[in-house]
Amino acid sequence: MGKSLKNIVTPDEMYDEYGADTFRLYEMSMGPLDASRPWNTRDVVGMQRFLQRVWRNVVDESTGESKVTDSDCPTELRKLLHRTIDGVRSDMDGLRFNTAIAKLIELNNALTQHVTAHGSTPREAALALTRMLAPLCPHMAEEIWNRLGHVETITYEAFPDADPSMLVDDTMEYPVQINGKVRARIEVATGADLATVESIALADERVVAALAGATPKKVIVVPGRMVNLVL
Amino acid sequence: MSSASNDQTGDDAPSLRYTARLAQDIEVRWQDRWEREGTFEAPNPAGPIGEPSKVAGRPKLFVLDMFPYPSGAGLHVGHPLGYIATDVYARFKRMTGFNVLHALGYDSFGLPAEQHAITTGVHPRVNTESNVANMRRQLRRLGLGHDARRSVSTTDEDFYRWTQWIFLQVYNSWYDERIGKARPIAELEAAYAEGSIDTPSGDSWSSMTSAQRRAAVDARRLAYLSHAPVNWCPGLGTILANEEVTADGRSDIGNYPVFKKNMRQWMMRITSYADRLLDDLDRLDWPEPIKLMQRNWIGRSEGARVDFGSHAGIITVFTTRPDTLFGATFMVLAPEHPLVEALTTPDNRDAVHAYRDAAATKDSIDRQDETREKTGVFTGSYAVNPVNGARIPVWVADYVLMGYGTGAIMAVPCGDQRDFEFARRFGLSIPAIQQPPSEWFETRELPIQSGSAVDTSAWSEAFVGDGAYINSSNDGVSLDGIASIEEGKRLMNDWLATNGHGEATINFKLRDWLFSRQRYWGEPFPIVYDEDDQPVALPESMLPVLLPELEDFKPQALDPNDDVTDPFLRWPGARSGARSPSISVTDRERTVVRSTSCRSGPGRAGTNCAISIRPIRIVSSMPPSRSTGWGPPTVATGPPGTPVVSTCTWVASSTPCCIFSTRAFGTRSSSTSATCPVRNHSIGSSIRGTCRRTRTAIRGVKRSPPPRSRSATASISTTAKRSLANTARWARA
Repeated sequence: MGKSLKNIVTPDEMYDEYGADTFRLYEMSMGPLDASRPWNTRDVVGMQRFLQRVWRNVVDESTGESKVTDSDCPTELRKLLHRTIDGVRSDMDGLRFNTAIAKLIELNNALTQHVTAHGSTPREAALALTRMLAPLCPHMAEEIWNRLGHVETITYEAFPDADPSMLVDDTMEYPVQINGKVRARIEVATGADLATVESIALADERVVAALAGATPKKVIVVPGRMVNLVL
Repeated sequence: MSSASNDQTGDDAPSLRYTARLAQDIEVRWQDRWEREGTFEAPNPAGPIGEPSKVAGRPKLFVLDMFPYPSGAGLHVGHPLGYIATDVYARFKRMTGFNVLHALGYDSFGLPAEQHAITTGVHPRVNTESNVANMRRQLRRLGLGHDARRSVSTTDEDFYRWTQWIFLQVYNSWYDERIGKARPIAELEAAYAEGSIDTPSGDSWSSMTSAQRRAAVDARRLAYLSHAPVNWCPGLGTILANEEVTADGRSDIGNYPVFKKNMRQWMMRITSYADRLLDDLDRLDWPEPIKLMQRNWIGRSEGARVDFGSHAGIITVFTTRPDTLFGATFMVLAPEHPLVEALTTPDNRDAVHAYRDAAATKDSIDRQDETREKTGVFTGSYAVNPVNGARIPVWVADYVLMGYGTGAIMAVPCGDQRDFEFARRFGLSIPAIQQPPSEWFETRELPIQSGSAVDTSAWSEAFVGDGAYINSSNDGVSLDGIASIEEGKRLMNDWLATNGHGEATINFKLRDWLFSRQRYWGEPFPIVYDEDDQPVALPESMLPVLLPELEDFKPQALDPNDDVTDPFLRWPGARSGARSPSISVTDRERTVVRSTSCRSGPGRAGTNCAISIRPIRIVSSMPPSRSTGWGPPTVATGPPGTPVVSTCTWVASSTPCCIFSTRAFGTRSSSTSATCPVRNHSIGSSIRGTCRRTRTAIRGVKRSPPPRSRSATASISTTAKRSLANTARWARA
C-alpha cells in the first residue's frame, strides 16, 4: 500500500466503513508511534469489535436502555479498574496510546464477563471507562456520557484518578524454577520477606515432589519476580 | 477495501448495535454540537482579548501539528496518524486541567498547486481553496478538537505579512559571534566604523565607497543574496528541490532535464548558528537517534585549513587530518571549483569540460556514493605541498563537492583506501607516513619494513590504522616516531599557523539555507531592486507585499535544454527587459523593480514559516506586542529528518516545550514519531532551537509592528474572508 501504488485507503472510506472513532482507535493501536506500521484492515475490524463490546456493556442493543446500574462493583473488578486507570494515565502522558488501548481492552473484557454473569455494569466502572476512552474515541464517549445522564460535554470532565490503596495486591504469584525450569507457582503475601518466600517455595508440594529429597545447593529469591532453586 | 462491516449492518442486526451507520450518526451529531458550542475554543490567557475568567487558572498547553499541504487528493490514511495522536494528547490534557490550544492551518503555497494550475489552466488560488475546503471537511469528520477560529492558510495575506515581517527582521540582522547573538544591522555599521569588527576586505570603513560598504554589510546579513548552485529546470522554468529531481537528473514533474546552475538566490545564514545548534541538542529531552540525525546533519569536524600554492592561485583545502600532510601526493577539486578553469592546461581542456558537464547532471548524493567507481580527470597543473615543497598533480573529480569544505581536498593515498585506489588507478605516488605493525605485513605476506624503508609499491591496500609517523619531517617540524594522532595534529596545526600555510579550523556540514524560488505561487519577498540591481528591503509599513493577481501565472518555460537563459516572471514590474517600477519606495527617489522570486520551497519553506509565524497569527492581525498570552507551542509536530531550519517554531526560552514528530510525515509506509514528555526547558529540537535562537538573535531589533492591511477586503479570497469574519467574531466575543 502506498501513494505511488495508488491503492491508498482514504479517510473518507474509513469513516464510511467503520466510523471515525474506530479509525482513530486503530491508528493509535498499531504500535508505538515511532515504529513503522503496515496497514492491516483486519485489525481495524478488531477495533470496531472492541467498541461494539464497550457499547454493548453500557447500552442494550435492542431497546437502547442503559445497562449501567448502581450495583456493587466486585473488589477484583475494582482493582483491575484502578490498575487500568493508573496505567492508562501514565501511558497517555507518555504518548504510549497503543498500550493504553491494550489496557482498556483488558478492562472491557473483564467488564463483559461481569455483564454476562450479572446482567448489568456497575456505574463506577462505566463512568471511569467512558472518561478514559474520551481522548481516544471522543464521539462514543460523549454519547455514552450523555446516555448516563450528563448534560455537559465530556471534554472537560476530569480524567479518573487511581485510588492508590486499590493498586496494592494482597498476594502475588512467584514462579519457582528448579535448574532453570518452572516447576511450580506459589502465592505469597505481597511484601513478604525473602525468607518467607523461600520457605513457602520449599514447602510447596510440587517443589517437594520435583526435588525428590534432594537439598538445593542454592536458593535465589528475586523479590517480586521469582524463586530459583539450583541443585 | 473489504466490506467488513456487512455482518453488523444486515437487517437482522439489533437496531442499536454499534455499526458504522450508528457510529456515523453519533459522530456527526457530536461534531455539530462541538462546533455549535465552540467546545474547543481556547480562551486567551492574557492580553487585550484575553479571557482570564474562562481560563480559570488552568495552565496553558499549546499543541501544534505540522500544517498539511492541501493536495487535490485530500487526506490519505497516513496523514491522520500525527493529527490523531496530538488530538488524543490534547484531549487527555484538557481532562487533566489544562487550557489546551490545539489548532491547524494549511501550507497552501507551493509548487504542486502551481503545477496543477498550469496543467489545468485554473488559477492556483481556486484549486488551493477547494482543496483546503475538502481537507477541512475530512479533518472535521475525524473529530479533531481544533480551535477553528485560529485556522490559517499560508496563502492568506494576513498570514504572510508576518512571514514577510520575519524576513525583514532576519534581513536586518547580523550575527555577532563575540556574544553569540544577532544584532541590528545599524550596529554592524557602527562596529565597522569604530573598527571593533574588521570589514571583510580589511579596508577601513571610512575609506570605503558606499558600494563597498554595502557589500561589507551584506556579507554579514542573516538573509542574503548568493549565487548558489541550484537544480535549474528550464522546461518548467523553475528551480527544484532535490526530492523533485529524479535519479536520472530529470524533473519529477514533466520529465525535463535539470541542470546544476549558479543562480542568484536568497540564503539564510544558518551556519552562523552551527555551534549553538549543536550544543543545545544536549539540553533536549529527545530520543537519541533523532539527536544523532541532527548532529550528523550539522556535521561538525575539527581540522585545519591548508593552503597549497599553484600558478593559478592559492588552493585552500579543509582536512580533518593535517597530520598526514607529508603523505599528500595529489589534490582533487570539485568540477565547479572556481580555479578549475585557470588550472586546466590546453591539452586537458576538452576532457575537463566534458567531465564537468557530466558532473552537472548528477546530484550530490550520487556523487558521494561510496560504492561507485571513482572517476576523475587531470587538469595538467601541479600545486605545491607546503610541508615539503613537492609538486603534486591537481585533479578534478565529482566525489568532491563544492558545497562542503572548500570544494578541494588533499589526497593521502597511503592511509585512505579511496585515495589509495585513485592513486593506483592513475599511477600516482604513495609514500608511507605511518608505520604499520608487523602483523599487518605478515597477514598480507609482505616483507616487514620500517621507517624510511617502508615501500608501498607492493601494497594492495592502504594502511588504515594507528601507527607512529614515519617520513614526516621537514626543517621546521618532525612527527617521526610520534604515535599520538592528537599530538601529530597539534604539531602540524602549529607549524601551519607559524608559517602562514593554514590554521586549525572547525568545519560544518550544515549549509546556509536556500529559500527562494522562481515561481508565482508563493509569498513575495518584501524586497525591491534599485538601479544597481541591489536589494532594498521595504519598510514594515508597506507589509504585506501582495502577490499580484496574474492572468498568466505560468513561469516562463524555456527550451528544456537551454541552461543559459535566466528565468523571469511575467508580473507587472518584474525584471523582464523593460524595467517598469511597480512599487515606489517613498523615502528614496529611485526606480525599483519587484523580485522574480517568491519564498516557497525548496524544502518546505512555506511550512516552516507557517509554523514559525503561528503564535503571532494566532492573535490575528495583532502586532506581537499585543500578546494573547499563549506564546509558542508546547507540543509541535514535524519531521526530524528534515534540514535543521526546516521545521522551526518560535520558542521562547522560558516556555516548556516538546516535540512530537512524524518521520516521512503522512506516509503510511514509514510513519514514525519521536516523542518526549513535556518538560521545562527541553526546547523543541535543534530544529526549533534554530528559530528560538533566531528570535533571541533579533532581540535587539526594534520591532515596530506591521500595520493592519489597508484594504483587506479589496480582493481577498473566500477563505480569507471567512477567516477574517471568524477573527472579527472572535475579537468581539
